[in-house]
Amino acid sequence: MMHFFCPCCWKEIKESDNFCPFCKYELITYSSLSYEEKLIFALKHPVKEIRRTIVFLIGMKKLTKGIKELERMLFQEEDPIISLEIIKALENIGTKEAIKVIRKGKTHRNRLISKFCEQREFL
Amino acid sequence: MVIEALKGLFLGASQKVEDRTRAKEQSKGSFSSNTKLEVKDLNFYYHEFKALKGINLKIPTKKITALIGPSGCGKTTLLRCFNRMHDLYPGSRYEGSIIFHPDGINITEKNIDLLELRRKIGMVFQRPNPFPKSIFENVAYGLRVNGVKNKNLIKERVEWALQSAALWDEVKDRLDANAYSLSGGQQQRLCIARAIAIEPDIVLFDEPTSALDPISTAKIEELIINLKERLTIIIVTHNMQQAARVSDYTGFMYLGELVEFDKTHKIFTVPSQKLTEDYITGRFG
Repeated sequence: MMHFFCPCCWKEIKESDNFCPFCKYELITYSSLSYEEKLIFALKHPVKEIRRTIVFLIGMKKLTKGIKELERMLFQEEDPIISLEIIKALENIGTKEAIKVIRKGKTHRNRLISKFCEQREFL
Repeated sequence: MVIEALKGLFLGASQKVEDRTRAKEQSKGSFSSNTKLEVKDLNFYYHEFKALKGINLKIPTKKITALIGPSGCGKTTLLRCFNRMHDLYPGSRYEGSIIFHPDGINITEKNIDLLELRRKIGMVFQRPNPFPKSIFENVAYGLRVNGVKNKNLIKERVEWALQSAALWDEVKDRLDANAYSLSGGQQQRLCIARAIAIEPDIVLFDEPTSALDPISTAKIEELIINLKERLTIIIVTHNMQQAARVSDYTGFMYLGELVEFDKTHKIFTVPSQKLTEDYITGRFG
């Protein structure tokens, strides 16, 4: 059984919907987005395995456009495994801006995350 | 009597030889030494239901190929075509061909030797399924079935397979213990050892880590990556990150069709189809 989701509020919708019945997002808008933009949208996906994969892919693509969203997630994400994946993704992106976020991570409330940030060799 | 019957199966009839020669000739021209399996216009039916539609695909030799897609898209169905597992159930039907290189055997032909095929194309399932035997006997079983009688040779091959499956150090002192005494992750590595002990050309993995914890998953993934030095590997996975991490090539399937097939890095960083983009980014699943 296939499930379709609104890419804006991520509630389950019908495949045939043109507008999300929950948040009124116009689905045609989504189809015109670039793959990079879709990846950044998907960082808010409710399924944590998908969020984790998207973080990994943003790192794999070295997608600098995703840094801001990764920064937001790093401090809001409840799953520490995804937070660790975020740091690895930022490390892969490797720009000054990405490294700055990892530095900020040293103050993370979760000791596991802050320690992981401290251990990054280049900091 | 059983041995005679097996001999008959392995030697095959002259018809089989003719069929193989014909398939070899047919595959000439499109065969590349880098291709292990060549799927041409493959349709597969469960009774009246067409589960695979016009699949064309070349599985590269000694690489890891991942098949991804939502539930019911046909990825496991395609995987099971490669060693004709569907033949265990009535009502399955193949159209098109799957050429097994370099011999040029067409896997979909009715009179193919299935025992020999499954010796060359092994399989590891979603849940570990060791036999209710000792650890040693689980790995030795395939060798014995294939006629290996030399005890020292069996011992050597069992040790080699367990080492290759990164399990030797954990079980070398308790080879006579029941396989069920192992953890889930160890049982799955035992199943991999059992599959590789008879030195197949290809191993098919059907979601091999979906029932395992993250640490066992990491071990199996590392093992799969190491195995590609010797084998061609095809893996079906629901876990896209796993496909991105371990595979060299990825095929995305949807509603029985192969939507896109390319190098894994390309599929995940610049997919060419909108449908692939939408699946990867979680729009449906």
